[in-house]
Amino acid sequence: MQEEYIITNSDDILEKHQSIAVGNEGCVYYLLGAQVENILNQCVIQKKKVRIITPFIPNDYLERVFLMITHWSEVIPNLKVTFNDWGLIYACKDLIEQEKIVPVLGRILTRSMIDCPWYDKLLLSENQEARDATFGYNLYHDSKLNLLNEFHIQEVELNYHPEYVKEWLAIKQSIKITCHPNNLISVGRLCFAARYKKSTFPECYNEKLCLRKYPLSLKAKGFNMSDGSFSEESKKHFLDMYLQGNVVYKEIFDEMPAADILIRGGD
Amino acid sequence: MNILAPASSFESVRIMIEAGADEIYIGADEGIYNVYSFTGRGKISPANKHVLCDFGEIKTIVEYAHEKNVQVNFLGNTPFFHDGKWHEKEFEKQYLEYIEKSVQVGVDSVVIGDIGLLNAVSKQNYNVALHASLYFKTLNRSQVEFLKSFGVKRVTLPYHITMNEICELCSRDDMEFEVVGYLGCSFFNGACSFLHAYGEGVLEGFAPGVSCKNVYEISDEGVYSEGKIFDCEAACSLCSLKKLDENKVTALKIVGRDRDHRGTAEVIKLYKQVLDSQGSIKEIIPDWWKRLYCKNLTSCKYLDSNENYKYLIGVI
Repeated sequence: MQEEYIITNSDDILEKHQSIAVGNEGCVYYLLGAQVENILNQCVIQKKKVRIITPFIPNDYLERVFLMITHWSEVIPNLKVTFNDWGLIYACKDLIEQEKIVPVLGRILTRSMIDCPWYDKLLLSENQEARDATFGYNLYHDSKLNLLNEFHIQEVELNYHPEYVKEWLAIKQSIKITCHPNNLISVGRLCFAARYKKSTFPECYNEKLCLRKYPLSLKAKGFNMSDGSFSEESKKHFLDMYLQGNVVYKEIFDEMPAADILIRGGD
Repeated sequence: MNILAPASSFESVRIMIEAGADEIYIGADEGIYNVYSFTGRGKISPANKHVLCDFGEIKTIVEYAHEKNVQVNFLGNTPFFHDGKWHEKEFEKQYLEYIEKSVQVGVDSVVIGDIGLLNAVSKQNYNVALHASLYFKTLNRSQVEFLKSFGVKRVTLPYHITMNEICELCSRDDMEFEVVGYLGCSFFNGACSFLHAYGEGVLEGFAPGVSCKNVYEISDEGVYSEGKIFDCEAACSLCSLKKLDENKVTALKIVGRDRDHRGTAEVIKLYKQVLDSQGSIKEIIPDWWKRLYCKNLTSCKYLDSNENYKYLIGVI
């Protein structure tokens, strides 16, 4: 298994890290900011292998992100780009065709029902055949894999679910699988961390709010519930969750030997 | 701009059309699941209401709606799909049969929410319009082009999108756009795995509820506080209707298949009245609505005055 290190500060690029990941899955402001630019400049100087992780792309930012990717594709050989927006992939199709970038499908686009922390509690009224036909990796679907092939996508980022590793291995026959030490649970357009800290762009960027991890725990039901409390069984499903910017993650502590690539924190 | 209403039965369709709906959206029971469905929702609402009908009823609905010049959009928008088998038959074939049946009874469009299923359906050359559901999270013009390459005729835009973005996207003439006019979600539909129950009720002592409305304790470098950190649903778009209409939005979707359809019909009447009005809308909006939404600075869809909009990513 290969390892990459996600870097948020150019001073952290150490000799031992040969493969660097930058960017994030949630915020286009962060992607286009000076911190990422500085890291990428250092990567060019130090001849690192690079992956840029891109988030969803609002319309006004499409051109700027496209130009950013084009620029770095010219100075970083075999630049990997993780896409979390179909529109951005489509905008970059010439770069992909010309092999200027190596496209990777990100976790926002590979979401599956099994990513729900309590998926095993869903569909309990269904018979086993219907459950088996429904639970699994969304990418375990020829129609999607054929489409990825059309876009020359040979690597995907997936949440880790050891109980579905058999499907994972089947997907791996066509493409490489990359994991993170967390599962991506949910993404908002609104930055919940910025709202919590009452900080708007560009102050939120300067304060590096989108890089901070805010551990979460479930306290009470807030909607339409006669009894506002949660059972211990319910709370268990929210363990190890944290907010980072506009994204909710759940820490994963398992080893993932079946993954081709693991993106670790760069500390 | 058409008002697009939720429907779950012939009776609800009749009431929605009487209330002023120009289009309806509805799904059918595919005969595979007990509670889940190919429509991205369960078959039974939390209030124990059946939200899907059989294809015989769909046929009656289509005939009635077409008599009234109302468009029927058929839901095949499950966002979760992978290769499985049901009774020894490929699951994708089962899904395609479900879509085919809807085409046979004459629906005007099918709404799709999964890229693999869109890829599969687009290759079938069904004589029906394809709509891309809000599960696609379409925020930019390139994604509109991408969806168009599959033959998509209409794109539903996500809950959290600004008026400026809507206007820019709707400035093109070769795609229809649908926006959500009433109620919503806090996260991106299609990027949220805090799934609601599909009608199972309490599950072995666990009730997920509505995760984005829950109260969480958050730790900020060891300092703890509590709050509804994710709740940012904006519910009402009455003050934006005219502008949405002027900017060529094709359809305004009123969500609520799982809600009481008589209540939803009242919402549709109000939206229709505001849309058709000539002067100030203040006199039209009932007091109960004003109490519910107008005093809350985060209830307004598509207005920059919504206090949450300053935290939206990618609007500056």
